[in-house]
Amino acid sequence: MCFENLPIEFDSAGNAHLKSGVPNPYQYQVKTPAEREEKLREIARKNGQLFDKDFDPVTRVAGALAFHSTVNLDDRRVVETNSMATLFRGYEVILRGRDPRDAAFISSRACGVCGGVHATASALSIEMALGIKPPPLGIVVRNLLLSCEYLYDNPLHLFVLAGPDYSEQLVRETNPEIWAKAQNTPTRFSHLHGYRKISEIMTDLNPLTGKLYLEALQMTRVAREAYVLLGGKYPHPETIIPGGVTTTLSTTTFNEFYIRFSEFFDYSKKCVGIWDDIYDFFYECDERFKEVGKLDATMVDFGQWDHEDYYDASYENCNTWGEMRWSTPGALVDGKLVTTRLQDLNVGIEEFIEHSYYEMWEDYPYKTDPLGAPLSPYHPWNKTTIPRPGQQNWKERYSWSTTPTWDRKVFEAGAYARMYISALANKLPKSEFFESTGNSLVLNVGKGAELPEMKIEWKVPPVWNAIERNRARAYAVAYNAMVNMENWVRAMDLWKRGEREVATPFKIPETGKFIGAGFWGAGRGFLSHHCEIENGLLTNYQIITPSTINACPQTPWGEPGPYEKSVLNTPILESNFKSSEEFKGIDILRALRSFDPCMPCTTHTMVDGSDHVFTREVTTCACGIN
Amino acid sequence: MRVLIGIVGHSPILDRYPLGPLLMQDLQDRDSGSMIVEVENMTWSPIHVTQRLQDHQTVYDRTVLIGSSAGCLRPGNVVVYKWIGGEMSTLKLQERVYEGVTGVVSLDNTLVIGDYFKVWPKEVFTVEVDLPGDAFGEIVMAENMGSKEEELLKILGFNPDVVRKKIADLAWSVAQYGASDREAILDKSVNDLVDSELFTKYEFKQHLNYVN
Repeated sequence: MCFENLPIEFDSAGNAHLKSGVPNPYQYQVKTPAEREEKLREIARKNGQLFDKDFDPVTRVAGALAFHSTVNLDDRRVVETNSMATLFRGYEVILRGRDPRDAAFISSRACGVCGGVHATASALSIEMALGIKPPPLGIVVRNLLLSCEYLYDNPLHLFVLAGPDYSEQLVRETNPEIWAKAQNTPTRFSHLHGYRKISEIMTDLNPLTGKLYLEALQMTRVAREAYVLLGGKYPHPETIIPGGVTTTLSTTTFNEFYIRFSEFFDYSKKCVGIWDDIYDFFYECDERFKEVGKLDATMVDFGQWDHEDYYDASYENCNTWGEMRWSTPGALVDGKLVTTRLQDLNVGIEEFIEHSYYEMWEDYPYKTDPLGAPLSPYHPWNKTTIPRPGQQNWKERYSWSTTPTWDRKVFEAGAYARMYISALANKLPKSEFFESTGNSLVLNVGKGAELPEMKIEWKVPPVWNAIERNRARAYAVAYNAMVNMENWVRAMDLWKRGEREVATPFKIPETGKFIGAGFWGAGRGFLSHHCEIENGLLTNYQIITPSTINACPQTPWGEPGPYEKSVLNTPILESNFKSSEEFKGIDILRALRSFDPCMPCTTHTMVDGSDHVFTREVTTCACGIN
Repeated sequence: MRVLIGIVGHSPILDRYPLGPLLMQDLQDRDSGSMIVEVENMTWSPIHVTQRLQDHQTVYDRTVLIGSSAGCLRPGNVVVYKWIGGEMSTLKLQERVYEGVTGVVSLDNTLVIGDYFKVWPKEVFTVEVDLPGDAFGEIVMAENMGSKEEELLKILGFNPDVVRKKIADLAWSVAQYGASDREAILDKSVNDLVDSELFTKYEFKQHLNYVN
C-alpha cells in the first residue's frame, strides 16, 4: 500500500482501485490568501528584525529563477520563502496539434543543457502510445547517450555551478574562520586527487582560475565528444526517434566512444575524493552545516537506462521493465521506499496550479490508466496547459512553475534520487560494474591512466541536506561512467552477434486515440512526457521536469515546494557581515544550488501578448537567445 | 588571408529569420577570390565555441561574428563594430560563463569568453542587428498561421529579407576589407556590453508591463 493521501487502495492481486465511500475522492482543501496573510502577520509579530532578501536572478543556475526570502538576522533563521520561475515554457502548447514524429525534435529544445533526455522521453512516450518496441541495439545506444549527458551535466554542476560556493574566493568572503581552518587541515583522499590541504582544493575551486573549475569545463567537452560520436550532435540530437535511434554505427565508432568515456574512470574517483574531503571538512567546521538545505528524504525517480531484454514500451508491462532498469524506479517518502512500480509512480502524480500563472482545466477524459487504476483529474493525461499571465503576488500566484505532487506530497528530483532509490531498492540487474546492497551502491570503477581499478561505495546518509545532495552527485559521476561501461559491453556483444538494427519502423495511425508516457530522467532527475494522440496528431502533451518539481510554489493546501522548504530549514551560518547590506545569503544559495536548478527546463518562453504562445528560439534554451 | 565568419543565433529552422539558414547560404555562396572565408554556425554555448576553436589548428587573420545586439533600439538596424576588448571584472565574466555552460547562446558572451580564452585573432568585428525580443516567435507564428507578408512586417517593424541581405553585405564587406573599407566603424569594448543579469529581469518586467 504505497498511497497514504490519495484515495487509492489495492486488491490482493495488486490492482489499484478507488476507495469506496469517498464522495469526492480527489477534492482538496485550498488554503486561502487570508490564511496565508495571517501567517505572515504572525511571523512579523514574533520577529522584530525581519528583512527581505531577494535573489533575482539566482546566479549560477541555468535560466531564470528568482527567490524571495524573509530573514531574521537576530535569530539567524529564514522565516518565509517563495521560489519563482520567471519565464513561461510553452512546449505543451506548441506541441498540441502536431505530428507525433515532431515531438522528440521540438521538445528536445526544452533545455539547452540536456536536450537529449527530452528527445528520449518524448520518443518513449510515442513508443508507448503506438506500441513501438525498439531493437536491442537501439535501446543500448540510447542508454550510452544518456550516460554521456549525465557525464556532461554532473561535473558541470559540481565544479562550475555549485562548486564555487565552497571555493577560497567565496569562503574567505563569507566565513573567513573556515578559510583559516582549511589552511591547516590535511586532506584524507590525497591518493585520489593529489591535494594535501583542504585550502589547496578550495583555491582550485575558484571560478575561472581554479584548476578544478577549468578541468571540469574540459571534461564536459570529453562527454560531449563521446555523445556526438553516437548522437550526431549535442545538445539537440536529431538521431533519437520513436523506435530507437538513427545513428550509423561501426566498430570504430564504439572504440572511439570508449576512449572518451573511459577518461571518466579516473575523473570520477577524483570527484569522489575532492567532495568527500570538502564536505567532511565543512561538517567538522560546524555541525550545523547538516541543517543547510535539510529536508525529509522524499523523492521520486522513474529510473532509467532500459534493459534491452525487458523493455517493450508497453504500459501493461511497465512494472516489469521498469524494475529491470539500470537504475531502479521508486518513490521514497521520508527515507522509506514505498514502491518501485512505474505504474504506482504514474498514478500518484498530480499537477496543481493554484500558485502558478495558469488556469484550471475542466476536462477529465481519463478516469483510469490503461490498466484500470484510478487517475486524478490533475494527472498529466488529464491536464491541459492554459497560460494565464498575472501580477506576482506571494500569497496567490507567483510562478510559471506548476506544483507537481506524488500522493499529494511535494517531493525532490535529482541525480541523487536515482542513487538513493537504487541503493535502497536492491533490485538492480546483475552487473560486474555496480551493485545495490539495500543501503548503498557499490561501484567497481575501472582502471584509468593514473589510478587503479577500485571499489567506491556511496552509502545512504543519515541526514538529507545540501551537502549530501552534492556528495551523491559526485558519486553519481562514477555510477554514470559504470552504467555506460555496462551498456558499452552490451553494445559490443550485440555488435559481435551481428545485430545492426537500431530502429523499428512504424506508421502513425490516421485514426484512433492513444496515450503514452515517457518515464525517464534528466541529469537533474525525474522527467516525464505524457502524450495523447488522436487521429494521427498530438492532442495533448505534458512535460514534467525535475526543476518544475524542485522549484515549485507551495501546494494549494500550503505545503512549500522543495526549494522553499529546504531554505526555511537553513540556518544562517555566514559570519562575515555586520548589517543586512553586507549579508550575502551564501547558506540560502548553497541550499538552492544543491538542487542543481535548471530553469530552462522549468520555464522557457515569453507570452506573446495573445492567446498564441510560441518559442522565441528553438535551437537552444530560449531563455538565452540573443 | 583567412577569415572566419561565425553566425551566433543562426537557426536552422526558419528561412525568414534574418539570422537563419538563408543568411548562411548567402555568405557561403559568395566568391571570396583569393581569400579563404569560412562560414560557421556558432549557435552553441560560447564555451563549446571556444573549445572548438581551441582545437582548431587554423590560424585566422580576422573573425566576424554576426548576431543580434543585446538591446533593440531600432528594429532591423544593422551596425558593424570593431572589437577592442578591455578588461572585464572576473565576477562579470563568471556570470557569462555560467550562462554559457547552461545553454545560453549570446553574441556578447561568445565575444568575451572567446577573448578571455584567447581564441580570437587580432582583428575581430561584430555585425549586430537590432531584433525585437519576440522576433523569432513572431516569425514562427506568422509561418504557422500563414500570415500575410504585410502583417509580419507590421509586427516586426522591418522586412526580414531586406535586413538579412544588409547583414550579409556588411559582414562580407568587413570580412574582406576589415576596417579599411568603412570610415566610421564603431569600436566596441567590454564597457559597451549590457550586463548579462539584466536579461531575466528585463524579460520579467516586460512581461509584467504587458499584463498591466
